[in-house]
Amino acid sequence: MQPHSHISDLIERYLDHAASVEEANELFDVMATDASVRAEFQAASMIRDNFAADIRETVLPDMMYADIVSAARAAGTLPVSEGITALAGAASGGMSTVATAVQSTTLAIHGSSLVGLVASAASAIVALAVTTVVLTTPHGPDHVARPSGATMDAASTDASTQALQSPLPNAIPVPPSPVPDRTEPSSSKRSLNHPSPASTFLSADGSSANGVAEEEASAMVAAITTVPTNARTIDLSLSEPPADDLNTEASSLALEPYLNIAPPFVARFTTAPLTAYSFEGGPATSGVNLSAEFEVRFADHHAVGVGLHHDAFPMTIIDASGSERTVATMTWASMHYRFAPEWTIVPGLTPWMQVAAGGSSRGMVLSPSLGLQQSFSNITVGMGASLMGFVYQSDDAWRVASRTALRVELGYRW
Amino acid sequence: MQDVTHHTDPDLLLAIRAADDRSEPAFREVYRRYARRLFLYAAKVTGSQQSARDIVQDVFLKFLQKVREGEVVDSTAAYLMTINRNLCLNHKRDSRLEYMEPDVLPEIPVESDHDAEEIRRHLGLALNALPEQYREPLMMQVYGGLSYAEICEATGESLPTIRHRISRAKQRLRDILIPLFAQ
Repeated sequence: MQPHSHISDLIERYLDHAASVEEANELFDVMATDASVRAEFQAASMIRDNFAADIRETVLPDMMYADIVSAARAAGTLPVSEGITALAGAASGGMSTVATAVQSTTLAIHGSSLVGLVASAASAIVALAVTTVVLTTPHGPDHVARPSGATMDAASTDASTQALQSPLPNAIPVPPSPVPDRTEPSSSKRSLNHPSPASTFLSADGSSANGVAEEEASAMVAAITTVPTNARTIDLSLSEPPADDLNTEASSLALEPYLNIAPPFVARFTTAPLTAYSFEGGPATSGVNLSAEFEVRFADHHAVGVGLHHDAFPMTIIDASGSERTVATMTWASMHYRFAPEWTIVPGLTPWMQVAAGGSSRGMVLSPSLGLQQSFSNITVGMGASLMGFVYQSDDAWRVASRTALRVELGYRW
Repeated sequence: MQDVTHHTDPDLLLAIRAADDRSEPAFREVYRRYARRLFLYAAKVTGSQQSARDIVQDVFLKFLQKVREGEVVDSTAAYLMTINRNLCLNHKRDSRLEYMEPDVLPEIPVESDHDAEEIRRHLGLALNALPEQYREPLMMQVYGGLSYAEICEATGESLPTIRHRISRAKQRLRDILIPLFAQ
Protein backbone atom coordinates (compact mmCIF):
# COMPACT_ATOMS: atom_id res chain seq x y z
CA MET A 1 0.00 0.00 0.00
CA GLN A 2 1.43 3.30 -1.04
CA PRO A 3 1.36 6.22 1.39
CA HIS A 4 -1.87 8.10 0.88
CA SER A 5 -0.29 11.50 0.23
CA HIS A 6 2.02 10.02 -2.39
CA ILE A 7 -0.90 8.56 -4.31
CA SER A 8 -2.81 11.82 -3.99
CA ASP A 9 0.16 13.68 -5.42
CA LEU A 10 0.39 11.18 -8.26
CA ILE A 11 -3.27 11.68 -9.05
CA GLU A 12 -2.86 15.45 -9.09
CA ARG A 13 0.20 15.25 -11.26
CA TYR A 14 -1.51 12.89 -13.67
CA LEU A 15 -4.57 15.11 -13.97
CA ASP A 16 -2.28 18.10 -14.47
CA HIS A 17 -0.63 16.22 -17.35
CA ALA A 18 2.60 16.58 -15.39
CA ALA A 19 3.18 12.93 -14.56
CA SER A 20 5.96 11.01 -16.27
CA VAL A 21 5.28 7.70 -18.00
CA GLU A 22 6.72 5.88 -15.01
CA GLU A 23 4.51 7.79 -12.60
CA ALA A 24 1.44 7.16 -14.74
CA ASN A 25 2.22 3.46 -14.86
CA GLU A 26 2.69 3.39 -11.12
CA LEU A 27 -0.65 5.10 -10.61
CA PHE A 28 -2.52 2.72 -12.90
CA ASP A 29 -0.85 -0.30 -11.28
CA VAL A 30 -2.11 0.84 -7.89
CA MET A 31 -5.57 1.62 -9.23
CA ALA A 32 -5.80 -1.84 -10.72
CA THR A 33 -5.55 -3.38 -7.29
CA ASP A 34 -6.87 -0.74 -4.91
CA ALA A 35 -10.51 0.33 -5.15
CA SER A 36 -10.00 3.22 -2.74
CA VAL A 37 -7.41 4.73 -5.07
CA ARG A 38 -9.78 4.33 -7.99
CA ALA A 39 -12.45 6.13 -6.00
CA GLU A 40 -10.05 8.92 -5.13
CA PHE A 41 -9.03 9.25 -8.75
CA GLN A 42 -12.65 9.47 -9.85
CA ALA A 43 -13.42 12.03 -7.17
CA ALA A 44 -10.45 14.19 -8.14
CA SER A 45 -11.44 13.99 -11.78
CA MET A 46 -15.03 14.89 -10.96
CA ILE A 47 -13.94 17.91 -8.95
CA ARG A 48 -11.91 19.20 -11.85
CA ASP A 49 -14.72 18.64 -14.30
CA ASN A 50 -17.07 20.63 -12.11
CA PHE A 51 -14.63 23.49 -11.67
CA ALA A 52 -14.08 23.55 -15.42
CA ALA A 53 -17.83 23.63 -16.02
CA ASP A 54 -18.19 26.57 -13.64
CA ILE A 55 -15.55 28.48 -15.57
CA ARG A 56 -16.92 27.51 -18.95
CA GLU A 57 -20.48 28.51 -18.14
CA THR A 58 -19.68 31.87 -16.63
CA VAL A 59 -20.69 34.80 -18.79
CA LEU A 60 -19.85 38.33 -17.83
CA PRO A 61 -22.86 40.55 -17.21
CA ASP A 62 -23.96 42.51 -20.18
CA MET A 63 -22.83 46.11 -20.37
CA MET A 64 -20.50 45.79 -17.40
CA TYR A 65 -17.56 47.07 -19.39
CA ALA A 66 -19.53 50.02 -20.73
CA ASP A 67 -20.67 50.93 -17.23
CA ILE A 68 -17.11 50.78 -15.90
CA VAL A 69 -15.79 52.97 -18.69
CA SER A 70 -18.62 55.42 -18.23
CA ALA A 71 -17.96 55.66 -14.49
CA ALA A 72 -14.21 55.91 -15.06
CA ARG A 73 -14.67 58.77 -17.47
CA ALA A 74 -16.94 60.53 -15.03
CA ALA A 75 -14.28 60.07 -12.34
CA GLY A 76 -11.55 61.29 -14.67
CA THR A 77 -9.53 58.07 -14.50
CA LEU A 78 -10.04 57.38 -18.19
CA PRO A 79 -9.81 60.17 -20.72
CA VAL A 80 -12.90 60.92 -22.73
CA SER A 81 -12.27 59.21 -26.01
CA GLU A 82 -12.02 61.28 -29.13
CA GLY A 83 -14.53 58.82 -30.47
CA ILE A 84 -17.13 60.10 -28.05
CA THR A 85 -16.47 63.65 -29.14
CA ALA A 86 -16.64 62.48 -32.70
CA LEU A 87 -19.80 60.61 -31.91
CA ALA A 88 -21.67 63.72 -30.87
CA GLY A 89 -20.71 65.55 -34.02
CA ALA A 90 -20.96 62.56 -36.28
CA ALA A 91 -24.28 61.46 -34.85
CA SER A 92 -25.75 64.86 -35.43
CA GLY A 93 -24.12 64.91 -38.84
CA GLY A 94 -25.44 61.44 -39.54
CA MET A 95 -28.92 62.41 -38.47
CA SER A 96 -28.87 65.50 -40.63
CA THR A 97 -27.51 63.38 -43.47
CA VAL A 98 -30.41 61.00 -43.15
CA ALA A 99 -32.85 63.88 -42.91
CA THR A 100 -31.30 65.51 -45.96
CA ALA A 101 -31.39 62.24 -47.83
CA VAL A 102 -35.03 61.69 -46.95
CA GLN A 103 -35.85 65.23 -47.96
CA SER A 104 -33.98 65.11 -51.23
CA THR A 105 -35.27 61.65 -52.00
CA THR A 106 -38.79 62.81 -51.44
CA LEU A 107 -38.22 65.85 -53.61
CA ALA A 108 -36.69 63.70 -56.27
CA ILE A 109 -39.63 61.32 -56.21
CA HIS A 110 -42.10 64.11 -56.56
CA GLY A 111 -40.06 65.60 -59.34
CA SER A 112 -39.83 62.22 -61.07
CA SER A 113 -36.09 62.70 -61.36
CA LEU A 114 -34.70 59.22 -61.14
CA VAL A 115 -31.10 60.28 -61.62
CA GLY A 116 -31.34 62.88 -58.89
CA LEU A 117 -32.98 60.42 -56.60
CA VAL A 118 -30.34 57.77 -57.08
CA ALA A 119 -27.64 60.38 -56.62
CA SER A 120 -29.24 61.60 -53.42
CA ALA A 121 -29.66 58.11 -52.05
CA ALA A 122 -26.11 57.20 -53.01
CA SER A 123 -24.69 60.30 -51.37
CA ALA A 124 -26.67 59.55 -48.24
CA ILE A 125 -25.33 56.01 -48.09
CA VAL A 126 -21.77 57.18 -48.68
CA ALA A 127 -22.17 59.84 -46.02
CA LEU A 128 -23.44 57.25 -43.58
CA ALA A 129 -20.59 54.94 -44.42
CA VAL A 130 -18.11 57.74 -43.80
CA THR A 131 -19.83 58.50 -40.53
CA THR A 132 -19.49 54.86 -39.56
CA VAL A 133 -15.81 54.85 -40.41
CA VAL A 134 -15.24 57.95 -38.31
CA LEU A 135 -16.97 56.34 -35.39
CA THR A 136 -15.07 53.10 -35.67
CA THR A 137 -11.67 54.75 -35.56
CA PRO A 138 -11.76 56.87 -32.43
CA HIS A 139 -8.23 56.09 -31.38
CA GLY A 140 -4.77 56.81 -32.50
CA PRO A 141 -2.92 55.59 -35.54
CA ASP A 142 -2.62 51.89 -36.13
CA HIS A 143 1.13 51.93 -35.81
CA VAL A 144 0.73 52.55 -32.10
CA ALA A 145 -0.51 49.01 -31.77
CA ARG A 146 2.70 47.04 -31.88
CA PRO A 147 3.34 43.67 -30.31
CA SER A 148 5.69 43.70 -27.39
CA GLY A 149 9.32 43.71 -28.31
CA ALA A 150 8.78 45.37 -31.65
CA THR A 151 11.44 47.78 -32.71
CA MET A 152 10.74 51.46 -32.66
CA ASP A 153 9.76 53.14 -35.87
CA ALA A 154 12.48 55.69 -36.53
CA ALA A 155 10.05 57.99 -38.25
CA SER A 156 7.88 58.21 -35.21
CA THR A 157 8.61 61.18 -33.03
CA ASP A 158 5.64 61.00 -30.72
CA ALA A 159 6.87 60.22 -27.24
CA SER A 160 3.78 58.44 -26.10
CA THR A 161 3.82 56.30 -29.19
CA GLN A 162 7.44 55.42 -28.55
CA ALA A 163 6.48 54.15 -25.15
CA LEU A 164 4.61 51.31 -26.76
CA GLN A 165 6.94 50.86 -29.68
CA SER A 166 10.27 50.88 -27.98
CA PRO A 167 12.01 47.58 -27.30
CA LEU A 168 10.48 46.17 -24.21
CA PRO A 169 12.51 45.19 -21.21
CA ASN A 170 12.09 41.53 -22.06
CA ALA A 171 15.68 41.74 -23.19
CA ILE A 172 16.61 42.63 -19.64
CA PRO A 173 17.22 39.66 -17.39
CA VAL A 174 14.73 40.43 -14.65
CA PRO A 175 14.10 37.84 -11.98
CA PRO A 176 10.53 36.94 -11.13
CA SER A 177 9.00 39.09 -8.47
CA PRO A 178 9.85 37.67 -5.08
CA VAL A 179 7.15 36.69 -2.68
CA PRO A 180 6.62 39.73 -0.48
CA ASP A 181 7.85 39.75 3.04
CA ARG A 182 4.97 38.39 5.05
CA THR A 183 5.88 40.52 8.04
CA GLU A 184 4.70 43.46 6.04
CA PRO A 185 1.06 44.39 5.64
CA SER A 186 -0.79 42.76 2.80
CA SER A 187 0.03 43.77 -0.73
CA SER A 188 -3.06 45.86 -1.10
CA LYS A 189 -2.31 47.87 2.02
CA ARG A 190 1.25 48.36 0.93
CA SER A 191 0.25 49.49 -2.49
CA LEU A 192 -2.52 51.72 -1.27
CA ASN A 193 -0.55 53.49 1.41
CA HIS A 194 2.84 53.98 -0.11
CA PRO A 195 3.43 56.37 -2.97
CA SER A 196 5.21 54.70 -5.80
CA PRO A 197 8.21 56.06 -7.67
CA ALA A 198 6.11 56.29 -10.79
CA SER A 199 3.72 58.66 -9.10
CA THR A 200 6.45 61.27 -9.16
CA PHE A 201 6.42 61.11 -12.95
CA LEU A 202 2.79 60.98 -13.86
CA SER A 203 0.06 62.56 -11.85
CA ALA A 204 -3.48 61.39 -11.58
CA ASP A 205 -4.79 64.29 -13.56
CA GLY A 206 -3.46 63.07 -16.82
CA SER A 207 0.16 64.27 -16.97
CA SER A 208 1.26 65.37 -20.42
CA ALA A 209 -2.24 65.30 -21.75
CA ASN A 210 -3.05 68.19 -19.46
CA GLY A 211 -0.41 70.68 -20.24
CA VAL A 212 2.94 69.28 -19.21
CA ALA A 213 5.62 70.43 -21.63
CA GLU A 214 6.19 68.04 -24.50
CA GLU A 215 9.85 67.42 -23.74
CA GLU A 216 9.08 66.74 -20.11
CA ALA A 217 6.44 64.25 -21.12
CA SER A 218 8.89 62.52 -23.44
CA ALA A 219 11.42 62.22 -20.66
CA MET A 220 8.80 60.88 -18.30
CA VAL A 221 7.55 58.26 -20.67
CA ALA A 222 11.07 57.23 -21.60
CA ALA A 223 11.99 56.91 -17.95
CA ILE A 224 8.96 54.87 -17.11
CA THR A 225 9.47 52.63 -20.10
CA THR A 226 12.71 51.41 -18.59
CA VAL A 227 11.03 50.43 -15.34
CA PRO A 228 9.91 46.82 -15.48
CA THR A 229 6.72 46.75 -13.48
CA ASN A 230 5.69 43.16 -14.03
CA ALA A 231 8.69 40.99 -13.65
CA ARG A 232 6.71 37.80 -13.91
CA THR A 233 5.37 38.56 -17.34
CA ILE A 234 8.78 39.52 -18.59
CA ASP A 235 10.34 36.45 -17.11
CA LEU A 236 7.82 34.23 -18.83
CA SER A 237 8.94 35.56 -22.16
CA LEU A 238 12.53 34.62 -21.45
CA SER A 239 12.52 31.19 -19.99
CA GLU A 240 10.53 28.62 -18.16
CA PRO A 241 9.17 30.03 -14.93
CA PRO A 242 10.30 28.51 -11.69
CA ALA A 243 8.25 25.58 -10.53
CA ASP A 244 6.76 27.51 -7.67
CA ASP A 245 5.37 30.03 -10.08
CA LEU A 246 3.50 27.46 -12.10
CA ASN A 247 -0.21 27.19 -11.66
CA THR A 248 -0.72 23.69 -12.84
CA GLU A 249 -4.34 23.56 -11.79
CA ALA A 250 -5.20 26.65 -13.72
CA SER A 251 -3.35 25.55 -16.79
CA SER A 252 -5.45 22.44 -17.05
CA LEU A 253 -8.55 24.58 -16.58
CA ALA A 254 -7.34 27.27 -18.91
CA LEU A 255 -9.74 30.05 -19.73
CA GLU A 256 -10.48 30.59 -23.35
CA PRO A 257 -8.01 32.92 -25.03
CA TYR A 258 -10.78 35.36 -25.84
CA LEU A 259 -13.41 36.13 -23.26
CA ASN A 260 -16.73 36.96 -24.74
CA ILE A 261 -18.00 40.17 -23.28
CA ALA A 262 -21.45 39.69 -24.76
CA PRO A 263 -23.19 36.71 -26.29
CA PRO A 264 -22.49 36.41 -30.01
CA PHE A 265 -25.94 35.55 -31.38
CA VAL A 266 -28.92 37.83 -31.60
CA ALA A 267 -32.47 37.20 -32.72
CA ARG A 268 -34.38 40.41 -33.20
CA PHE A 269 -37.91 41.38 -34.06
CA THR A 270 -38.67 44.86 -35.23
CA THR A 271 -41.76 46.77 -36.09
CA ALA A 272 -41.86 50.11 -37.80
CA PRO A 273 -44.66 52.51 -38.61
CA LEU A 274 -43.63 53.89 -41.96
CA THR A 275 -44.42 56.49 -44.52
CA ALA A 276 -43.93 55.55 -48.15
CA TYR A 277 -43.39 57.91 -51.02
CA SER A 278 -44.43 56.99 -54.53
CA PHE A 279 -42.38 58.11 -57.50
CA GLU A 280 -45.50 59.10 -59.40
CA GLY A 281 -45.80 62.09 -57.12
CA GLY A 282 -48.95 60.96 -55.44
CA PRO A 283 -49.63 61.41 -51.76
CA ALA A 284 -47.47 59.64 -49.24
CA THR A 285 -49.03 56.55 -47.76
CA SER A 286 -48.69 55.07 -44.33
CA GLY A 287 -47.98 51.49 -43.52
CA VAL A 288 -46.13 49.19 -41.23
CA ASN A 289 -43.07 46.98 -41.37
CA LEU A 290 -42.46 43.78 -39.46
CA SER A 291 -39.05 42.16 -39.52
CA ALA A 292 -37.23 39.22 -38.04
CA GLU A 293 -33.46 39.28 -38.00
CA PHE A 294 -30.73 36.94 -36.93
CA GLU A 295 -27.15 38.06 -36.60
CA VAL A 296 -23.76 36.93 -35.45
CA ARG A 297 -21.25 39.22 -33.81
CA PHE A 298 -17.88 38.66 -35.46
CA ALA A 299 -15.93 41.34 -33.57
CA ASP A 300 -16.52 43.40 -30.48
CA HIS A 301 -18.74 45.96 -32.13
CA HIS A 302 -19.50 44.41 -35.47
CA ALA A 303 -22.12 41.92 -36.53
CA VAL A 304 -23.56 40.54 -39.72
CA GLY A 305 -26.89 38.86 -40.20
CA VAL A 306 -29.88 38.06 -42.29
CA GLY A 307 -33.43 39.30 -42.10
CA LEU A 308 -36.91 38.68 -43.41
CA HIS A 309 -39.12 41.75 -43.74
CA HIS A 310 -42.75 42.33 -44.47
CA ASP A 311 -43.81 45.81 -45.49
CA ALA A 312 -47.44 46.74 -45.77
CA PHE A 313 -48.17 49.88 -47.75
CA PRO A 314 -50.20 50.37 -50.93
CA MET A 315 -48.24 50.81 -54.11
CA THR A 316 -49.33 51.01 -57.75
CA ILE A 317 -47.39 48.99 -60.29
CA ILE A 318 -47.94 48.76 -64.05
CA ASP A 319 -46.82 45.39 -65.31
CA ALA A 320 -45.37 44.48 -68.72
CA SER A 321 -48.82 43.99 -70.24
CA GLY A 322 -49.76 47.53 -69.30
CA SER A 323 -52.32 46.57 -66.71
CA GLU A 324 -52.25 48.57 -63.50
CA ARG A 325 -52.50 46.94 -60.14
CA THR A 326 -52.11 47.97 -56.56
CA VAL A 327 -50.01 45.84 -54.28
CA ALA A 328 -50.52 46.18 -50.58
CA THR A 329 -47.58 44.26 -49.17
CA MET A 330 -44.08 43.25 -50.02
CA THR A 331 -41.92 40.59 -48.40
CA TRP A 332 -38.19 40.87 -48.86
CA ALA A 333 -35.07 39.23 -47.55
CA SER A 334 -31.87 40.98 -46.66
CA MET A 335 -28.36 40.71 -45.36
CA HIS A 336 -27.13 43.36 -42.99
CA TYR A 337 -24.12 44.74 -41.22
CA ARG A 338 -24.55 46.25 -37.79
CA PHE A 339 -22.15 48.43 -35.84
CA ALA A 340 -22.87 48.82 -32.15
CA PRO A 341 -20.06 50.39 -30.12
CA GLU A 342 -20.15 50.29 -26.35
CA TRP A 343 -20.10 54.04 -26.09
CA THR A 344 -22.52 55.04 -23.41
CA ILE A 345 -24.11 58.33 -24.37
CA VAL A 346 -26.67 58.21 -21.60
CA PRO A 347 -26.07 55.54 -18.92
CA GLY A 348 -27.36 52.25 -20.27
CA LEU A 349 -28.01 53.53 -23.77
CA THR A 350 -25.65 52.72 -26.60
CA PRO A 351 -25.85 53.63 -30.28
CA TRP A 352 -26.14 51.30 -33.22
CA MET A 353 -26.08 51.66 -36.97
CA GLN A 354 -27.14 49.12 -39.54
CA VAL A 355 -27.16 48.83 -43.28
CA ALA A 356 -29.32 46.16 -44.90
CA ALA A 357 -29.31 45.18 -48.55
CA GLY A 358 -31.66 42.70 -50.12
CA GLY A 359 -34.60 42.29 -52.38
CA SER A 360 -37.69 40.43 -53.41
CA SER A 361 -39.18 39.29 -56.68
CA ARG A 362 -40.21 42.90 -57.27
CA GLY A 363 -36.92 44.64 -56.90
CA MET A 364 -33.94 45.57 -54.78
CA VAL A 365 -33.82 47.24 -51.41
CA LEU A 366 -31.16 49.20 -49.55
CA SER A 367 -31.98 50.29 -46.04
CA PRO A 368 -29.69 52.15 -43.61
CA SER A 369 -30.85 52.61 -40.01
CA LEU A 370 -29.52 54.06 -36.81
CA GLY A 371 -30.72 54.35 -33.26
CA LEU A 372 -30.12 53.60 -29.61
CA GLN A 373 -30.49 50.41 -27.63
CA GLN A 374 -30.71 49.38 -24.03
CA SER A 375 -29.88 45.93 -22.70
CA PHE A 376 -31.56 44.10 -19.86
CA SER A 377 -29.55 40.97 -19.31
CA ASN A 378 -30.01 39.00 -22.54
CA ILE A 379 -32.87 41.16 -23.75
CA THR A 380 -32.23 44.27 -25.79
CA VAL A 381 -34.73 46.98 -26.60
CA GLY A 382 -33.98 49.53 -29.24
CA MET A 383 -35.43 52.45 -31.12
CA GLY A 384 -34.26 54.13 -34.24
CA ALA A 385 -35.01 55.47 -37.64
CA SER A 386 -34.59 53.79 -40.99
CA LEU A 387 -34.64 54.79 -44.59
CA MET A 388 -35.44 52.34 -47.37
CA GLY A 389 -34.70 52.81 -51.02
CA PHE A 390 -36.64 50.44 -53.27
CA VAL A 391 -35.77 49.95 -56.93
CA TYR A 392 -38.46 48.15 -58.90
CA GLN A 393 -39.88 47.78 -62.38
CA SER A 394 -43.14 49.40 -63.40
CA ASP A 395 -44.54 50.43 -66.75
CA ASP A 396 -41.55 48.78 -68.39
CA ALA A 397 -39.08 51.09 -66.66
CA TRP A 398 -37.04 51.03 -63.51
CA ARG A 399 -38.49 53.20 -60.76
CA VAL A 400 -37.38 54.14 -57.30
CA ALA A 401 -39.50 54.56 -54.23
CA SER A 402 -38.53 55.24 -50.70
CA ARG A 403 -39.97 55.02 -47.26
CA THR A 404 -38.94 56.37 -43.91
CA ALA A 405 -39.79 54.57 -40.74
CA LEU A 406 -39.40 54.65 -37.04
CA ARG A 407 -38.04 51.36 -35.83
CA VAL A 408 -38.73 49.58 -32.57
CA GLU A 409 -36.62 46.53 -31.75
CA LEU A 410 -36.84 43.67 -29.33
CA GLY A 411 -33.85 41.34 -29.34
CA TYR A 412 -32.59 38.31 -27.51
CA ARG A 413 -28.89 37.50 -27.21
CA TRP A 414 -27.32 34.17 -26.41
CA MET B 1 -9.23 49.97 -33.30
CA GLN B 2 -5.75 49.39 -31.92
CA ASP B 3 -4.64 45.81 -31.51
CA VAL B 4 -3.23 45.61 -28.02
CA THR B 5 -3.85 41.92 -27.50
CA HIS B 6 -0.15 41.14 -27.77
CA HIS B 7 1.00 43.76 -25.32
CA THR B 8 2.29 42.65 -21.96
CA ASP B 9 0.60 43.78 -18.79
CA PRO B 10 3.29 46.41 -18.07
CA ASP B 11 2.78 47.87 -21.52
CA LEU B 12 -0.91 48.08 -20.94
CA LEU B 13 -0.42 49.80 -17.61
CA LEU B 14 1.87 52.34 -19.25
CA ALA B 15 -0.74 53.02 -21.88
CA ILE B 16 -3.46 53.42 -19.27
CA ARG B 17 -1.24 55.72 -17.25
CA ALA B 18 -0.53 57.85 -20.30
CA ALA B 19 -4.11 59.13 -20.24
CA ASP B 20 -4.39 59.54 -23.97
CA ASP B 21 -6.18 57.74 -26.74
CA ARG B 22 -4.26 54.54 -26.01
CA SER B 23 -5.71 54.32 -22.55
CA GLU B 24 -9.10 52.87 -23.29
CA PRO B 25 -7.91 50.14 -25.68
CA ALA B 26 -5.31 49.18 -23.09
CA PHE B 27 -7.85 49.15 -20.30
CA ARG B 28 -10.21 47.15 -22.44
CA GLU B 29 -7.51 44.53 -22.92
CA VAL B 30 -6.85 44.35 -19.18
CA TYR B 31 -10.57 43.90 -18.68
CA ARG B 32 -10.67 41.20 -21.32
CA ARG B 33 -7.84 39.31 -19.66
CA TYR B 34 -9.03 39.41 -16.09
CA ALA B 35 -12.71 40.38 -15.77
CA ARG B 36 -14.12 36.89 -15.94
CA ARG B 37 -11.72 35.48 -13.38
CA LEU B 38 -12.56 38.29 -11.00
CA PHE B 39 -16.27 37.97 -11.62
CA LEU B 40 -16.29 34.22 -11.12
CA TYR B 41 -14.36 34.51 -7.88
CA ALA B 42 -16.62 37.26 -6.57
CA ALA B 43 -19.74 35.37 -7.59
CA LYS B 44 -18.55 32.28 -5.75
CA VAL B 45 -17.61 34.22 -2.63
CA THR B 46 -20.73 36.37 -2.44
CA GLY B 47 -23.16 33.87 -3.93
CA SER B 48 -24.73 36.66 -5.96
CA GLN B 49 -24.11 37.62 -9.57
CA GLN B 50 -25.39 41.13 -8.95
CA SER B 51 -23.06 41.63 -6.01
CA ALA B 52 -20.22 40.18 -8.06
CA ARG B 53 -20.96 42.63 -10.84
CA ASP B 54 -20.90 45.57 -8.43
CA ILE B 55 -17.69 44.34 -6.86
CA VAL B 56 -15.89 43.78 -10.16
CA GLN B 57 -16.91 47.23 -11.34
CA ASP B 58 -15.43 48.70 -8.17
CA VAL B 59 -12.30 46.59 -8.64
CA PHE B 60 -11.61 48.05 -12.05
CA LEU B 61 -12.43 51.59 -11.00
CA LYS B 62 -10.02 51.36 -8.06
CA PHE B 63 -7.46 49.73 -10.33
CA LEU B 64 -7.72 52.59 -12.81
CA GLN B 65 -7.43 55.15 -10.06
CA LYS B 66 -4.31 53.55 -8.62
CA VAL B 67 -2.67 53.07 -12.00
CA ARG B 68 -3.32 56.68 -12.89
CA GLU B 69 -1.78 57.71 -9.59
CA GLY B 70 1.38 55.93 -10.62
CA GLU B 71 1.01 52.80 -8.53
CA VAL B 72 3.73 50.23 -9.25
CA VAL B 73 2.06 46.91 -9.99
CA ASP B 74 4.23 43.81 -9.97
CA SER B 75 1.54 41.44 -11.11
CA THR B 76 -1.67 42.76 -12.58
CA ALA B 77 -3.51 39.53 -11.85
CA ALA B 78 -2.49 39.52 -8.20
CA TYR B 79 -3.12 43.22 -7.81
CA LEU B 80 -6.63 42.97 -9.22
CA MET B 81 -7.35 39.89 -7.14
CA THR B 82 -6.15 41.66 -4.02
CA ILE B 83 -8.65 44.45 -4.55
CA ASN B 84 -11.30 41.89 -5.47
CA ARG B 85 -10.65 39.86 -2.35
CA ASN B 86 -10.80 42.90 -0.08
CA LEU B 87 -14.07 44.06 -1.59
CA CYS B 88 -15.51 40.56 -1.30
CA LEU B 89 -14.48 40.45 2.35
CA ASN B 90 -16.12 43.82 2.89
CA HIS B 91 -19.26 42.56 1.24
CA LYS B 92 -19.34 39.44 3.38
CA ARG B 93 -18.80 41.49 6.50
CA ASP B 94 -21.51 43.95 5.58
CA SER B 95 -24.03 41.34 4.55
CA ARG B 96 -23.05 38.97 7.38
CA LEU B 97 -22.80 36.00 5.08
CA GLU B 98 -22.59 32.74 6.93
CA TYR B 99 -21.02 29.63 5.54
CA MET B 100 -22.06 26.13 6.41
CA GLU B 101 -20.02 24.21 8.88
CA PRO B 102 -18.74 20.89 7.61
CA ASP B 103 -20.94 18.89 9.94
CA VAL B 104 -24.02 20.62 8.52
CA LEU B 105 -23.21 19.35 5.05
CA PRO B 106 -25.90 16.91 3.97
CA GLU B 107 -24.60 13.45 3.25
CA ILE B 108 -24.97 11.97 -0.20
CA PRO B 109 -26.83 8.65 -0.09
CA VAL B 110 -24.24 6.15 -1.22
CA GLU B 111 -26.65 3.63 -2.65
CA SER B 112 -28.44 5.94 -5.07
CA ASP B 113 -27.47 6.92 -8.59
CA HIS B 114 -26.02 10.39 -8.73
CA ASP B 115 -26.46 12.60 -11.69
CA ALA B 116 -23.93 15.23 -12.57
CA GLU B 117 -26.10 18.08 -11.37
CA GLU B 118 -26.51 16.52 -7.95
CA ILE B 119 -22.79 16.00 -7.60
CA ARG B 120 -22.16 19.51 -8.73
CA ARG B 121 -24.57 20.93 -6.21
CA HIS B 122 -23.04 18.89 -3.46
CA LEU B 123 -19.56 19.93 -4.48
CA GLY B 124 -20.65 23.55 -4.28
CA LEU B 125 -21.90 22.97 -0.76
CA ALA B 126 -18.69 21.19 0.11
CA LEU B 127 -16.65 24.07 -1.23
CA ASN B 128 -18.61 26.52 0.88
CA ALA B 129 -18.18 24.27 3.88
CA LEU B 130 -14.40 24.40 3.67
CA PRO B 131 -12.74 26.54 6.30
CA GLU B 132 -12.12 30.03 5.03
CA GLN B 133 -8.35 29.70 5.02
CA TYR B 134 -8.61 26.63 2.75
CA ARG B 135 -11.40 27.79 0.51
CA GLU B 136 -9.95 31.18 -0.34
CA PRO B 137 -6.62 30.10 -1.88
CA LEU B 138 -8.29 27.21 -3.68
CA MET B 139 -10.82 29.53 -5.28
CA MET B 140 -8.10 32.00 -6.21
CA GLN B 141 -6.25 29.20 -7.94
CA VAL B 142 -9.16 27.48 -9.62
CA TYR B 143 -11.49 30.35 -10.42
CA GLY B 144 -9.08 33.27 -10.28
CA GLY B 145 -6.42 31.48 -12.32
CA LEU B 146 -3.67 32.75 -10.02
CA SER B 147 -0.34 31.04 -9.55
CA TYR B 148 0.91 30.10 -6.10
CA ALA B 149 3.12 33.19 -6.03
CA GLU B 150 0.24 35.44 -7.00
CA ILE B 151 -1.96 33.92 -4.32
CA CYS B 152 0.79 34.62 -1.83
CA GLU B 153 0.86 38.22 -2.99
CA ALA B 154 -2.90 38.57 -2.81
CA THR B 155 -3.32 36.98 0.59
CA GLY B 156 -0.08 37.90 2.29
CA GLU B 157 0.64 34.28 3.19
CA SER B 158 3.83 32.34 2.63
CA LEU B 159 4.31 29.92 -0.23
CA PRO B 160 4.47 26.76 1.92
CA THR B 161 1.32 27.84 3.71
CA ILE B 162 -0.57 28.38 0.47
CA ARG B 163 0.65 25.08 -0.96
CA HIS B 164 -0.43 23.28 2.16
CA ARG B 165 -3.83 24.92 2.30
CA ILE B 166 -4.66 24.25 -1.33
CA SER B 167 -3.55 20.65 -0.98
CA ARG B 168 -5.69 20.21 2.14
CA ALA B 169 -8.65 21.86 0.46
CA LYS B 170 -8.49 19.50 -2.49
CA GLN B 171 -8.08 16.53 -0.20
CA ARG B 172 -11.14 17.53 1.80
CA LEU B 173 -13.24 17.87 -1.32
CA ARG B 174 -12.04 14.50 -2.52
CA ASP B 175 -12.82 12.93 0.82
CA ILE B 176 -16.37 14.18 0.56
CA LEU B 177 -16.89 12.71 -2.91
CA ILE B 178 -14.95 9.46 -2.52
CA PRO B 179 -17.88 7.60 -0.94
CA LEU B 180 -19.78 8.07 -4.19
CA PHE B 181 -17.23 6.05 -6.09
CA ALA B 182 -16.22 3.56 -3.45
CA GLN B 183 -19.10 1.17 -4.09
